[in-house]
Amino acid sequence: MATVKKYNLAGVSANVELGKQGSYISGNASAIGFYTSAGALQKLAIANATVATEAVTKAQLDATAGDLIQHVTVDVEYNGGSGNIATVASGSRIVSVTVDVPTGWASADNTTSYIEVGDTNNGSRFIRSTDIDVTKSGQYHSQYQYEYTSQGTLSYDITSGSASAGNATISVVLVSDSVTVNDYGSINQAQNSNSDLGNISS
Amino acid sequence: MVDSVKNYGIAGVSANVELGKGGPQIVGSDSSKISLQDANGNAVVAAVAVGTDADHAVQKSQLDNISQPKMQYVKTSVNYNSGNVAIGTTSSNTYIHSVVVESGVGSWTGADSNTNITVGDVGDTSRLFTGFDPSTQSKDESDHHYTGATQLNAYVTQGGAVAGTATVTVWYSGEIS
Repeated sequence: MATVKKYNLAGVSANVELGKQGSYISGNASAIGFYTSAGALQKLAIANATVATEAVTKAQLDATAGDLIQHVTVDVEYNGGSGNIATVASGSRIVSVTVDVPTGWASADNTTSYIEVGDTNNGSRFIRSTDIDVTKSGQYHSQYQYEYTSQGTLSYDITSGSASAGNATISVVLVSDSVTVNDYGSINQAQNSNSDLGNISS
Repeated sequence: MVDSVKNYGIAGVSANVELGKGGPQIVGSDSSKISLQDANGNAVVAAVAVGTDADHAVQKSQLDNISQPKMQYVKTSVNYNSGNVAIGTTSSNTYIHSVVVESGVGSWTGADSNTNITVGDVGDTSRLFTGFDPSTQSKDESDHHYTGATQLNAYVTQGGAVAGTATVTVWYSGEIS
């Protein structure tokens, strides 16, 4: 079929099909939509936006979404032993680690009952055995930063000593493109316990 | 050629449609997407209104509003004898939140009280960080808002050091390029 060009054709139907049974463009007073032949929204291939009123590409969105600061939070029990918190991608940077002990652990001794937080290469990289006194209620904070040059696995190790009861919440703040959280059944509990900080709206 | 013709009965056109002679094209010949291209087949930008629904395209201004306050970091490696090391140039609206400096693997042999690393700009070379300690990770949380494009540098004072490396990490919101 011969190609026809009519450069003076300035108006067509509100819905215009591109080729027989092809994608189509639909315009109304408030929007122009791009659709597949089946009526689903169609992808639109464009160049990167350079000024404020241009649409952005997925690459521009991904560049903004990458390396967001995020957190992984887990609850642990005095007798929980060791466990993995999350697997982080190469290039991830740990910004801080906070351990919250809501109530001093019962029958604990602060030299033989302790919490360590680190990774599978250094189990106390962020929180050492002497950093936290689990016999006292408090929030313990490490601002030591560490960047992983290869994939790493964050971990904790609880040494109960003489403790007979107690728990804590470990929260790791990090910058990463990829965090895979290992759910050992306690993560939802941690999220629920931190649901309201009480002072954001003010 | 007569003035423009409007035929609202046309509900189908070629898969690829040129907009004006030698103008950009809407390319629908690929069933998986519609492309907006220039006359040479290169992708062109799409000017759109502010997206308000989940399936709307969004403007660059909407993305910029999100990315501006995003906290991120830039890092630079320095050596004991590097002197001034460029970190980057801020945009006209960049907040510095903190600077972390940590010695690399190995010791700072010969380092003495004169050995130091500071971070700042030509107006104040220690505006953002001073007090390098080769034995530990040091952090300075002195915030600063740069309202104009400003070159940030790490300034290494060698003192007695004959070896040593360090990583300077600057946390900021805005832009450092």
